[in-house]
Amino acid sequence: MNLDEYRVVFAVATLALILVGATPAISAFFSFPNAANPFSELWALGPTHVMRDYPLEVNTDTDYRIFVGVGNHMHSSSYYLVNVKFRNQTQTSPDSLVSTPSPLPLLYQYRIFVGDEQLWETNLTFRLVDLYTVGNSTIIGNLSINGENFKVNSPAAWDSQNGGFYYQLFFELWRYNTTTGSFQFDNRSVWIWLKANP
Amino acid sequence: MHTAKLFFVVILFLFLGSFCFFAMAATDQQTAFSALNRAEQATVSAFQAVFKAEIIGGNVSDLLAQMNVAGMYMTKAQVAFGFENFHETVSQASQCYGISSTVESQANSLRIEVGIRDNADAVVRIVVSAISITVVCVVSFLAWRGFKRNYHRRFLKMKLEVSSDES
Repeated sequence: MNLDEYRVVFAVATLALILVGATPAISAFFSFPNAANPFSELWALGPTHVMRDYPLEVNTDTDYRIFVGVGNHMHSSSYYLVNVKFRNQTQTSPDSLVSTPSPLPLLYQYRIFVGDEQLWETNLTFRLVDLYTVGNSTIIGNLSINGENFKVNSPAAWDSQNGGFYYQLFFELWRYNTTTGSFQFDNRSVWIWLKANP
Repeated sequence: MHTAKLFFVVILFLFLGSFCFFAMAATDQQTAFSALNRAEQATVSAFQAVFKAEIIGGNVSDLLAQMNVAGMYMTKAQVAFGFENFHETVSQASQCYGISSTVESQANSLRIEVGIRDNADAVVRIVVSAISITVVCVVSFLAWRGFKRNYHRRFLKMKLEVSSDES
């Protein structure tokens, strides 16, 4: 190697070392965004924290307990609403394909604040308070959630295919959008089917 | 005649009484509704402050824990309002409002604190970088000078060899 070639080697090595030396200053002004897609989780589990022991067959005036939880992977803290709703088989459920929530009124609402990569979970107790039969259908008059009675007056016709009167207790996840300054349906919903025994 | 007058007075009192009752109930409902709205606004405002503090690197886990307590009061206030228990609504909403307001001011303080800390940190990083770059440049320059001198010295010490091609 001649002297000019050595000069190039020295210059390159010096520039590389300058770049290393400038790293602390560069990192003070630039941050690298998290490349992973942000998302939120919503789940409902049975009383022993597994999916298979959901209370499918429910009787009147008996307490049933389930777990409802939210996981935040939005790369920042989030303000969530978990809306608890109740429907029969003919009423509208949330539609994940067009990202719309159910138009049914909410019965109960959790307002929760979850840090990034954190989970939140609570147990929810429900009970069918007034369940009566009229002809070939049943009507649930009141549903108790966490000890509070809510009027639902929801009729269900006999489902001959599955052999029972079916209802659905479902949960919708809404998230506060800091850009728009409003709550938006996060297109997450979970439900449990309830076979009411009159 | 006397009975008719008495009857009229009773009817009048009943009418006025029911009017007052409904007017008071409506006022209670309005008060409860306002308290609920105020609390809801406070939770949103507090969350925005917490969010801003977090974005610049503040540790907001304690603030979020407090906000969850505020959220629980808000849920209770909403349930009470649904059952037309307006006194309870106002009570729970006020608790929510109080916590949210405290969290908002704590988040704003945290933001200022983190801002000051970040500025100091940025200054330290810039100084460290400036020193590092200066050291690299000086060391590199000296090394290059030494290397060049050594290279020339070695070059001058070289002996010329003349080779003859006799083929």
